[in-house]
Amino acid sequence: MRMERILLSGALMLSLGMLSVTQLAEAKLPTEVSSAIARSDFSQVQQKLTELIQSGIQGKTLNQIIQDKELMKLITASEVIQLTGASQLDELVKSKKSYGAFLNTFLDDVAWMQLYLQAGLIPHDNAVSLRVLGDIWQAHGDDPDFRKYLSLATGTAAAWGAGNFAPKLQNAEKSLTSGNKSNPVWRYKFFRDAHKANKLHKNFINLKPWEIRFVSGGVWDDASLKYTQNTINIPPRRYGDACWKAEYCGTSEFGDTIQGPLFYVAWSDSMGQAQKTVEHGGVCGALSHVGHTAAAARGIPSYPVGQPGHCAYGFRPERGKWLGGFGGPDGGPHNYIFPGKAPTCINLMEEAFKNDAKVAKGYEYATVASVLARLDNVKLADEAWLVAIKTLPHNMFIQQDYQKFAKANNLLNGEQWYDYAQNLIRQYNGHGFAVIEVLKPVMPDVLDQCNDAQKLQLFASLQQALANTPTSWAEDITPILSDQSAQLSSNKNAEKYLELLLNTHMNAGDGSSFGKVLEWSINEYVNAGKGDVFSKAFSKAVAKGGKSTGSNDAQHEKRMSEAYGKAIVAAENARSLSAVRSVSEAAKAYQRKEYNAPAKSELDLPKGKLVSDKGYLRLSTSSGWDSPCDHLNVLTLGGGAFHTDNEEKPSVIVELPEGVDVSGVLVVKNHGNEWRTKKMKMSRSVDGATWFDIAETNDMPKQWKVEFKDKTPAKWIKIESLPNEKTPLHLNRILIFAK
Amino acid sequence: MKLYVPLILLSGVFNCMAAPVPYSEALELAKKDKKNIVVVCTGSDWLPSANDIEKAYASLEKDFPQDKVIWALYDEKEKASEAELKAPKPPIGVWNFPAVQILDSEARPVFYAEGIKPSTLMKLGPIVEKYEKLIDKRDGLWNAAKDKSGEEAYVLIAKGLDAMPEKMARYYKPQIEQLAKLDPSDKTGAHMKYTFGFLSFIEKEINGRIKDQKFDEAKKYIQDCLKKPALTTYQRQMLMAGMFRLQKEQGNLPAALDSLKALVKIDPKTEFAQGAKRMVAYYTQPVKMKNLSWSQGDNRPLWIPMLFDVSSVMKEPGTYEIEFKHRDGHTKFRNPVIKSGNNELVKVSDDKESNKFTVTISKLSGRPILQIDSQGTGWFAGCGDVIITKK
Repeated sequence: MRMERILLSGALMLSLGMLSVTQLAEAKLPTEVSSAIARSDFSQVQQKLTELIQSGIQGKTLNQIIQDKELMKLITASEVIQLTGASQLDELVKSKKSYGAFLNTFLDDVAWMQLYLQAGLIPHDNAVSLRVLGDIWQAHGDDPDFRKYLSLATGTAAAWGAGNFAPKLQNAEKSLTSGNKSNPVWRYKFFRDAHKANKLHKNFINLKPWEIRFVSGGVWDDASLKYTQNTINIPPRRYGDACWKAEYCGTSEFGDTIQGPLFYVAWSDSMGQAQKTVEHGGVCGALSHVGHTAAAARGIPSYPVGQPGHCAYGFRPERGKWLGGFGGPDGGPHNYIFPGKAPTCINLMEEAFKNDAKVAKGYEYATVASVLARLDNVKLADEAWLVAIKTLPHNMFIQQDYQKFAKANNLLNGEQWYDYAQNLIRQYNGHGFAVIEVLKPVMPDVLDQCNDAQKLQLFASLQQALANTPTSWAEDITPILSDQSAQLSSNKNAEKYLELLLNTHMNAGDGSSFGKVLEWSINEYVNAGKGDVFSKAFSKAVAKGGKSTGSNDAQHEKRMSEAYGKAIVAAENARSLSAVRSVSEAAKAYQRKEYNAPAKSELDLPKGKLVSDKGYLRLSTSSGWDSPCDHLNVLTLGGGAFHTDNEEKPSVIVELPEGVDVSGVLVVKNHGNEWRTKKMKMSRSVDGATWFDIAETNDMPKQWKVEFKDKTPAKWIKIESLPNEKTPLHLNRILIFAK
Repeated sequence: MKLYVPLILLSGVFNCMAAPVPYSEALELAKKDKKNIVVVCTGSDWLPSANDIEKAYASLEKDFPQDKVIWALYDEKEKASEAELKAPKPPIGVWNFPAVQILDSEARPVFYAEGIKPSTLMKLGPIVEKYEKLIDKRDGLWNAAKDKSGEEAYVLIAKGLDAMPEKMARYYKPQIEQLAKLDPSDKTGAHMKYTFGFLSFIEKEINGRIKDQKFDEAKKYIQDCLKKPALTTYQRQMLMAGMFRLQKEQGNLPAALDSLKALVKIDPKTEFAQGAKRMVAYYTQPVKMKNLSWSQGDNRPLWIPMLFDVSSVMKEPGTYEIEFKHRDGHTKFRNPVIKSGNNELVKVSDDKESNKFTVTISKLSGRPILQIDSQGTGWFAGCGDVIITKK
């Protein structure tokens, strides 16, 4: 319990409860504001602030307003109250008087309020974060180093009040069992003490509130943070392995499946989830949470991430560099500031918040803009908004707040909205998915006044931004394509759209969306009986790009072969079976006529039914020696070809359309350079991320046949080469048979 | 073994013991000189205590028997070069730096401790001596086994493995496999002791047989294993957990719970025994609620009573409506009883499931407790509040 301080005379001071002498001496909020806080009448507080601001801004330019420290304090306080909700704050102060004392301190501290507003995600119309901040202040506000850990306190409070985990964290405060409990004041102290004891990553003390969310805002219980901090201490780069401190197992010691509620019931409620998982096992969800919690416990931002049928995680030893654990960091992050999929929403967040000085400036102007707009000072508000969005163009919340303001005040006509959109798209190059999200509220206004030619121009810009966006299989571009295509009024223009799509994604960026673009194109055109339209568009796209040399026809054929190859690899990396199969079918003319490998009649086939011929494969890397047009044939009795780059552990993964009980696998080498494939490992997976070794050889024969008597479920089979030095992997056949 | 040397030579001694060698070098030296290795695992560019560890290490001179041991340092860096990443690693992967491993001359582990403090290193000398003697004893047994065959050899090899901590002995696969060859039936269970894995046991030997309806076969397997004297306490308890599983799946819960009680009897102090006790309570004891709400953890897989103290809301005779208002999931309820001490004030026993019940209490004395049969469904997400209204 915090020691009560002696208060200065005055009923006001007494009614405020606990204030230190120092704080009283420095309190500068106008008396009428402080007294309204004490009466828990925040509507009155807001009214008083509004009056003071209104009078304060008279005759001032925007710059003069920004320079006026006292005025900025009032403006910032007004914004905090507006966002939180006056009635919510009334209830908070009524619930406990000391919150009044806290708010008097907080609303008088412009640096602290700005830190709070810059947390990225703070609650609107609820006072949870301020309640939590008040609790932390109550417990530790008198500590001499409280200001040093202000970011920790503020970030923890922000995570508690807003975001995907907020409801669970608030619920966990009420838990009656220590193994399920989470408490923000405990977390503040835990991380503060750990930092003082040199237990945290060196970057921790520099983390801002938006980053603290990914350290102290994790959803597992407090006991798990303590447990993982005490049991896992490894080089930061290795936190991608931290999940393996626990054993992967789907059955408890008492025989209960983890796919049910009984797995952990034998273990004490005072044991946190992490300890239960490390001592008694778990599967991907629990293991990924061990990994992410272990990183967080060392002050390293991290998040768990959902993938189809799997849970993984991401962690970040330094700004901008997210690494993965258990198959992460891509997928749907469970903790985030901007909604979307990783890596795109995470990359956007890093871009938006990377410069601390710009973040401070951008939020400052956004705060002023918001308050001035409420005061109906449209001219100054607009000026402030324009500075805010220019300073922080990638902050989608600030952009959308500006859009609301501009729309409400009819500041832009259709043409100007079009220009705004095009300008924003240029700025969001490399964040294509985000700009589509940012423009959603205004896109109808933009498109309404566009003809098809203008729409195609806009879509071309958007597709360029998307093509230049580093992404992964986790992000699905196809809904965007359907939406855009539907905006065009004629088949002719829809075909022009297809051409620009294929041209852009084939020839720009890293091609990471190209596979999904192909998948969509094939569904919309090839499968709808318009294969010729697709082929024509594909051919045009090839003609516009490519770097091959040679005579015109030969040059075009070479380009087509390369383009199909690139398309197939893109479809494989996009994990799109339909796109791989369709493009491979279209590329049949570019397959090799024969392969330098054993004939079909020489094959020593395992028992069972061949199932690999319905799947597709994915290489760890491709290379100049690779021939993607021949990839699918590798999975058939006739054989095919692939060739990775030189790697330490090159591998190939075969994905089947559905899980099977594998009876056998036959892996066949090409004739020649057989020394490259000697030490080999085969593993299986049912979720695409968790691998179980099923066979190994130190000296792979020409035909490596592995048969399984026991149940061997798999949807994926991986073949890995384990050479002594960097070597490529090339094989002629990988044939998978099922029972 | 302490070294007594004239003062003038101490500096020489100190110089000899100055810096530990990198682990990769220690491997070569150990092989060549047939010496054991003590390797401290640290992280010079990220571990805050790395400097203290190295200082503590360097000041161990007085106590360690440096004529028999090679002192080594394994530095797992954050910014490791490619060569450093490829360098040989100690046999036990470290999860909690700093750590120390004692290895024999063939780099096989006999001792491991992690998350150690620099001050712990200062006390390493006696531990090193203890494990040196252990290695000598073990090697003596295994050398003797080379001249023997059959059961005699088996016994000596097993004794050698037993001389080490069980977790360390598991790294000695050639010796473990020799046991299997010398006695394929594994009469004593020495081979099983060092190869037993709970997951393959419960999934393959028990659940696998249950799936194939081979209950008797599973029971015989467990009973035969229990006869093996070499098995550890944990392994015996694990076998009884398997028996519990088997009997529960056969629909014989009383027998299954007896198996859990037998598990506890093997050694009540183990964590596994504590878990078994919780399981017994889980399947048999009424769930006493702390207030008028229930949460996910209160659900049970079978009909078990929940007990709610309703004295704050039932203060006089009358008719009451009791509602189980769910916030999430679904818990089944039936057969409410209002009790006071041993007296049943009102009882419903029609087995009708509902979320709402009406009870009439004609006489109310003492502290009324609501007892209601409940059963969880699905993932036991059922949670909510008990709302009692007097009509």
